Amino acid sequence: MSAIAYWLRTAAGWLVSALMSPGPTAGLVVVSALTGVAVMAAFKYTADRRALRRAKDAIQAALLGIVLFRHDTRVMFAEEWRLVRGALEYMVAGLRPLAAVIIPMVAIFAQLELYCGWQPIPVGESALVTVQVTDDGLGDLFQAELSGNAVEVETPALRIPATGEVCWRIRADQPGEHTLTLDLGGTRIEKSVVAGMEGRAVRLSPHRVRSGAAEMLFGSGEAPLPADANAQRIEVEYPHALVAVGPIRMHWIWATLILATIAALIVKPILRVEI
Amino acid sequence: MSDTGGLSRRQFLRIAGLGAGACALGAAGLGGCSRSVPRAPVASRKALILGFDGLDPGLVRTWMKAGHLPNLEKLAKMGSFRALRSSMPPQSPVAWSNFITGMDPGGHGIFDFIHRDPASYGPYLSTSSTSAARRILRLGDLRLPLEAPEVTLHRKGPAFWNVLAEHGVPATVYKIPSNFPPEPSRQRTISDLGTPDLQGSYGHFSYFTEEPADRYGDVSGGSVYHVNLSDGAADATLVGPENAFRASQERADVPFRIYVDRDNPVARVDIQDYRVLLQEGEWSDWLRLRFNFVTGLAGASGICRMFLKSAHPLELYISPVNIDPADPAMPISTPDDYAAELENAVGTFYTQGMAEDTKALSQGIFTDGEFIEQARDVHRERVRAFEFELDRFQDGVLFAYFSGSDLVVHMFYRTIDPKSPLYSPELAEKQGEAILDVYRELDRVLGTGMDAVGDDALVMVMSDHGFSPYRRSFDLNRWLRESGYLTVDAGEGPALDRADWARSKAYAMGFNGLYVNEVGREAEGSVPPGPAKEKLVEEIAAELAEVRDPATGERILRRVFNTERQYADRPPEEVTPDLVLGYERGYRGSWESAIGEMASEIHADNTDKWSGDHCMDTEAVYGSLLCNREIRDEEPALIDLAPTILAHYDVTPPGNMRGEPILHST
Repeated sequence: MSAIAYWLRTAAGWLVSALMSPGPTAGLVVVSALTGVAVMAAFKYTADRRALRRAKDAIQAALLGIVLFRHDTRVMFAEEWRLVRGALEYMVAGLRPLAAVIIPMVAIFAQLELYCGWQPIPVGESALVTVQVTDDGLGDLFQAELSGNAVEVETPALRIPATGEVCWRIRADQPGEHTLTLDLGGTRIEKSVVAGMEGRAVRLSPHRVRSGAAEMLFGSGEAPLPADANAQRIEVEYPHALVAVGPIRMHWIWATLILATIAALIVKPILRVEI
Repeated sequence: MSDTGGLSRRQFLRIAGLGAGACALGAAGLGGCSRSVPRAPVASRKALILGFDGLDPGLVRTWMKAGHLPNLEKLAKMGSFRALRSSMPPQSPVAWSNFITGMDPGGHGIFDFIHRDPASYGPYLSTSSTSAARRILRLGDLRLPLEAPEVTLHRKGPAFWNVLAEHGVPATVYKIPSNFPPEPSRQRTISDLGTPDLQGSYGHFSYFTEEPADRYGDVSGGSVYHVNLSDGAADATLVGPENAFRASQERADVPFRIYVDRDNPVARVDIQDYRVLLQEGEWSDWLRLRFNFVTGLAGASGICRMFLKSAHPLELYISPVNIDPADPAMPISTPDDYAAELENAVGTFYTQGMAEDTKALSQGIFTDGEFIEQARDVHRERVRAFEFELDRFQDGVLFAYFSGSDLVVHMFYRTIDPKSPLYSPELAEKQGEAILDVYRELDRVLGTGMDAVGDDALVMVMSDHGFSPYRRSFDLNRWLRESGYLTVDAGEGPALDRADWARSKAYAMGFNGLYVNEVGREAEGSVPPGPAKEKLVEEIAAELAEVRDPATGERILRRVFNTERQYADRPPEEVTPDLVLGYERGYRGSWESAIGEMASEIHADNTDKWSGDHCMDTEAVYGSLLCNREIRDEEPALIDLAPTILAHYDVTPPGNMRGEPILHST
């Protein structure tokens, strides 16, 4: 299972990396358009077109019945029930194409989140770095040290024994991909941190964690934390990113849905898809 | 340093006259100090007006001579520098209303920071009020308002920028006192002094400390909360606005958790979506918090900043929760989205009036240095917004307001006034340049503005008043009581709540106001209007004029201003005080009398860090006016500025404006 997740993530990572190479905005438009096309293609080749048509006809008939017999309560209720049943049938008929695209989509969207969900730390600004230690690492909490190249650790460590956390505030003074080094109980662990690089599509790794199936699918690709380290998780608190669609700024997922819908509506008549 | 603001009116005019004379002499060789340029078409005329609250002409003159204020000096040499007559009383809400409307208090209806309700004798802030929704749907404890609460601006008269708008002249007014809620306008405006925080006050900070909260006593302008750290962590609550959706009207709040390191001087505050890690002595960025009234349905967005004063013991200051400019819970700008536009362009900023937290300094929460740092942050925000507006300033009027020259001077006059009860050479050595630093910063702002707008634009620097030392307090209610005009029963609570109104003829409210307990106006009036009242007013005025400070033997009042006589040409307003007291330099009405309470003594030393003031007589605290054009009037007044700005665009001032244009036509 982990191997499948790993390969799926790796493939999605390559694909998204290639698509985002022209830049974050162009990349998001391309990914959204391909998503719309892929969903339409899935409907064309995997959907039960007759079942879809039947469900749509049932919905239309029910709506017509509601309009025509609105004076007759009994008929109205019957038509409303037919409307609900038609909608359920429509959704069931759409499950197969959705199942066909859902897993690759999740893998791709998970990668997209790393490009579009966060932004690098602006140069000269600060971010929080938090290390969650394992139960065995509680003893190392008060000896933990953080250092970095081209990154200034602005504060002394704040150790919280109750939650097993230690955190620092860092500031990057130069743009680029830098490395933080955590010394925890004599074990040195590295964590990537990215600053600046405005206008470029940068894959960020907000956290580095121990190995796991979820991490295999959704993770950033940064190597899992060593099994012998007493750290459970190292997190860099990157600022959230929003995408501008005209005058409105929104989370990338909404922008993608809007753009994918537009793309789907454009290709629907070309592919002669029944939805 | 001597009381540098203490130039007499005559001295000042002589110096100003010498300056003007020197200009005239130099004119032959240098082409003149005041420029005479052909007037550009109205559509392309520009006017940059900088409002430096409290800029004192005496201090400006002194520091100009010392070479500290090169841009102000340059401006004065290009045109004129005059002492500017303020309002009576020279309080900011009154004075800025004079500036905005070109009217005096008899016209715009603002007489003091504080007015009184004659029905209850209770105080209220003079410039605005909020009334709750009247139509409410009650569902148990839940109250769903069926209409929006109303926020009302009490200042009357059209603002000059609206007169300009009628004539097609664009204006941007970046922060303006006495304009909350903003007067409806097509122009870009954003309110300042008078804009409340989210709690509805002029600024209410929160202070979380491991020290016992009662160590701080009764804290004005803030709340002190005791926190108990357990294993380095504590839970606390940030109190926000009143929840009008609950019958109990309890305040909405935001819980948060504080973590403090065992050894290192750092703490982390986890609040809503934020995890803020601060070292001792550090400020956080602005935090945007949501105060829920009805979860998922109604709430208000507020912004605040945190300051970790100390980690061991924990001392955490949280600023007043300001109205969020990106999502204002109350109107603060015109058009409505102007505040959000500014926020988007220059970052989040203080929206409350009097953003420099003088209360935190007075109450010993801030040290002098901490207050100065906070005041600098306020100034930096203003500079960012000013420069943003300057960049897109094409034509019309750009007005920008800066408050540091008022609030920092209020708090640091003790450092330049050797007669202040709080003065010491050590203090002067350490903080003696705090006020000069503010003036230097404002000089730089002027320099930036002059460079950006070019030589053809009208450039004006003005202030609403100047400054005076505030060394001694005079408690008017105590004086009225001891003079037999006010009868107050023994007991606890505010003096006016205990007044025997049937046996009281007059009372004080506001910093300069005195009211007769008039039949038909006050709820329990005892003095009939007409000759009896007039006689009483004359009698009290005459007695007050003779009051002397027992410590120095000096008169404490320069003038006592009879409003009925002064505003005889206009119908009397219910809010108008019957007498306005014009204090001599060094004296001011007590804090207690201002809100209808009574101090324990009539005369007392002012030992508060709030050591400079301007609630004196107009002639004790002239403001400043510097302009790159020649000012023809030797004694211009604030009410002249609105007509002057209108005249620059060939707009005839409306009939209710009392001032006159003061620039030589070019």
